[in-house]
Amino acid sequence: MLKHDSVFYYIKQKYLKSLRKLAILNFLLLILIIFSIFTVFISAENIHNNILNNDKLSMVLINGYTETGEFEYDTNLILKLPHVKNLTYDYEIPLIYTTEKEEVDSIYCLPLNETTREAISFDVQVDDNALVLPEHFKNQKLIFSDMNHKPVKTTNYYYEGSGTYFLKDQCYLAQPLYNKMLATINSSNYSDVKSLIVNLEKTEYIYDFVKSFHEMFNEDEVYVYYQSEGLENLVQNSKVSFHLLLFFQLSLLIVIVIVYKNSLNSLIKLINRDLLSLYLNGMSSKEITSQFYKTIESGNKKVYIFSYGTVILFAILLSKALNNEILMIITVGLLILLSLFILLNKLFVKYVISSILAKELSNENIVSQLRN
Amino acid sequence: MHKNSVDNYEDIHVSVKNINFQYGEKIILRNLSLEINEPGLYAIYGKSGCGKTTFINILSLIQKPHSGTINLFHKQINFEDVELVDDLRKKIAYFFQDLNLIETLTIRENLQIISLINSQPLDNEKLNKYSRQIQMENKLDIPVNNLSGGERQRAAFLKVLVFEYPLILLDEPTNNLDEENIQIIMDILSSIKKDRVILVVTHSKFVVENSDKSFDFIQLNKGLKELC
Repeated sequence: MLKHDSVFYYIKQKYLKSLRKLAILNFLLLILIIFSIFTVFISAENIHNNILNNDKLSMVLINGYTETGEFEYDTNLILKLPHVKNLTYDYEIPLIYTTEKEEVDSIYCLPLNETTREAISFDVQVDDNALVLPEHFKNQKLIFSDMNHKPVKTTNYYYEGSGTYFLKDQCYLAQPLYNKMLATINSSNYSDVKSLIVNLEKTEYIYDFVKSFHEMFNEDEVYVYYQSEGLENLVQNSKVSFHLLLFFQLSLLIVIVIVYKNSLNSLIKLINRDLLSLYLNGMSSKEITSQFYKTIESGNKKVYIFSYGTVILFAILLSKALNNEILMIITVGLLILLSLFILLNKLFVKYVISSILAKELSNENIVSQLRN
Repeated sequence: MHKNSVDNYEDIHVSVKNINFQYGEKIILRNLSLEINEPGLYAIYGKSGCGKTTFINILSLIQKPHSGTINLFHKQINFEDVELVDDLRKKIAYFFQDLNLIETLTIRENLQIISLINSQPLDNEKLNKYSRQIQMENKLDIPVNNLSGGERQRAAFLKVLVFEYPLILLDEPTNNLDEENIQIIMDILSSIKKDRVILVVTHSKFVVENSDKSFDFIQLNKGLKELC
């Protein structure tokens, strides 16, 4: 005996398998959406923060040689290449220093200009004798001298860290001091080549830049190499893999949506004759749709609870790897996202049911069934 | 939640004027008119395939005629007014073979569902009385798909008896029944006809003879014989 308000209560007993299949698909749909967005977000965050928007990677150190020696770049031409923000094209000047323990060593210096300032994230105003050193030189009493062992008077500043990989442990001289020392070097026949450091607007443009840069030279005449060689492929691959990830997640979602819609369609086909009976017994299409939706929705309540449970379980698993603050942000974010998608899921289920039943309970279809 | 869907039996009034219907080029109904102003048992007879079922479908507000007017319960039917149509359909018992029954459910469960639809409580006394009369009292808790053709027909018929509908439309209700059961059904219909309009579409001579008034479908349909 039926003791319920919904005419579709019997579906839960008679078509339990189909309902379970629908619930599982809906659960997969929800969880997949949530974790797809999470994965895509993490990947995007990772690619953007660590690669595409990583200022440290947006610099390219370039050297070029010909058979006869150093190749002289036309910096005006390079500045006109796409996405070039600024550049520096100078010799690295050696600076000799003596520690308190009388130990002698040398470091290389570039001029402190717009490009190099950006390379070390240094924006302090300095005087003409400024020498900007990596922070590990702090608290050391050093005596500096040039290549001719003449003492160099400097005002020392320090930048954080030790510089990007191809500028590791580099130091920087204020332009007047750099020019002064450069004059000393020229007089002593310094034979090193100039370093061309190109600063790009964003790391993600490195591929375009490298491509355009290569096109400027004939490879048979000039051998060009740059310190970030390979990075352009990494950037390009990261972008491709991100788009692929997005594509596959979307494809998977579309497949599940189609499977869900087909399963719902199959269930409705199974009860097609029942729908006709209900209609002939005076139930309106609107009432049938509404009650059928409520029946499916009542099964989905468990799906929603399980989805919340899965997110919380995921948060517990992450708790070993993440600190509390980040974990809290991720968990709350996922729960808000899940609530939003549950709302959208309800609308989606309602839409699918309405569209299928509108077709099944159309006047033409009912009359056609009666005629057959 | 339950309420009697029959507002006022005095409202029973069936008026069909000049309705036309065709499937493509094929004319099914031509200027068909019918007027019923009093409760009673009415029969429409005619051979199969003449368009009787189409007419009953239109009268039960399932199918829309191409032209003509229909008045039911003193209301002119506008088929575009879905709310009105849905509301009036609840007052009409439409009997079409055994399609009113959900196969996987028992007769009792089916009646429970109909009770939910028309907001009329299922009266067990009535159910026992009528099921006994049509010899179905032992079949009430058997799923419909385990019943024979005749039993299904009678089970479907129970809906008309147990619930109160001011307008009852029966399309060939005696098709799968033997003479004894036809007699029983007609006796029951005669007993409930006093406060409702019962319109039976049939080709059974017995049903026609036992009705208060009968209509020749071909005459109603302005002599359209091509389909019969």
